[in-house]
Amino acid sequence: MYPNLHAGITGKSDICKTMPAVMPTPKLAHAYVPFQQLVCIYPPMKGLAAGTIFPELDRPYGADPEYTVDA
Amino acid sequence: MWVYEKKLEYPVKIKNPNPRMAKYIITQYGGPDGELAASLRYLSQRFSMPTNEARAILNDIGTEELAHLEIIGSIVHQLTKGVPADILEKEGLGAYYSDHDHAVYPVSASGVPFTAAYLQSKGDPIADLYEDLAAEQKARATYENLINLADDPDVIEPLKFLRAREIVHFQRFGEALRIVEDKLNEKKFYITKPINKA
Amino acid sequence: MDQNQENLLKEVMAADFTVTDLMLYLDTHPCDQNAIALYNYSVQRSLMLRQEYERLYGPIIAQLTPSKFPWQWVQGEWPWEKL
Repeated sequence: MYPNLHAGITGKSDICKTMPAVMPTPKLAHAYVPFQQLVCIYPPMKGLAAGTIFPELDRPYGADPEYTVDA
Repeated sequence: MWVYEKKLEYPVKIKNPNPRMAKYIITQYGGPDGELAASLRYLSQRFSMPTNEARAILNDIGTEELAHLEIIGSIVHQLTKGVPADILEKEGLGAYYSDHDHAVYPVSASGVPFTAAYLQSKGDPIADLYEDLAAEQKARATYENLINLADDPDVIEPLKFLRAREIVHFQRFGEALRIVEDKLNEKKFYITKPINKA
Repeated sequence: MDQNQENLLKEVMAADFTVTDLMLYLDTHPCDQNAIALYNYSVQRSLMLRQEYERLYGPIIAQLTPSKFPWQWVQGEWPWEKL
């Protein structure tokens, strides 16, 4: 869908030697948010309307009736 | 440093004034879980973060929150523009009008002026990131309350945008927390807390 | 603001928003090459749309844009006014 435009200049890549695990073994007294993994993105106008370009983070208010109606 | 762009991050074009909603929405300008608190919190915490990723995310989300502050200010401004004093009073903005006329001033929905007590910059990166996660949830919940109170689509659309941003920010702070914890684990952080921090 | 200006500004907003959301993603995923490629494409698209907008309607960032006479930055609507 999008052309493969890699930047000509490569920076330091030592930071990329150890990639973080998607989900490590949980330790007590720690909380974990899983890493998002980019798959694809919305086109710009749709992204702006949704408030995010990532479909997996698009959680519209009103989608889940149990959660969204105020008591 | 900061540079200003002559556009909002999301468009605000409100056709019908509504002082009653302005009184509630202003809480995201100067209230405890609002955009001013968020931007000052993140932009202050970034100085004591131990990794580049955490510094970057606090810097960039803090900057985006200033853009959100501007959106809320624009909404409040458009909801009260041109409304005469007696209508403002009838809709609950009499006290605000007395001190501020039609200006935008950082207060909560109940009129409490903004205070730095709404934020913390603890210097402990773990504590700071948990504070940021909580802040994003509180902001999301507040936007949901405001959406429940509103009925004008011109008002609801920007509120929905701002709510969606809080969810994304929460995810980013969660990832920053993972990165910081990984890095601090290398130094056995919890066993000896360093007295001199680099 | 006339409809053409409003529409083009919305295109710029949408293009810039894509850049912003990708920037935040990259801050916590600095090693995601696909994301960097997407980001670079989005930045180029944003620059192209901005140039078009600024050519017709004046600067978006004052300090990056030469001005015609009289000083363009003070003219026109400010973003918080009703469009």
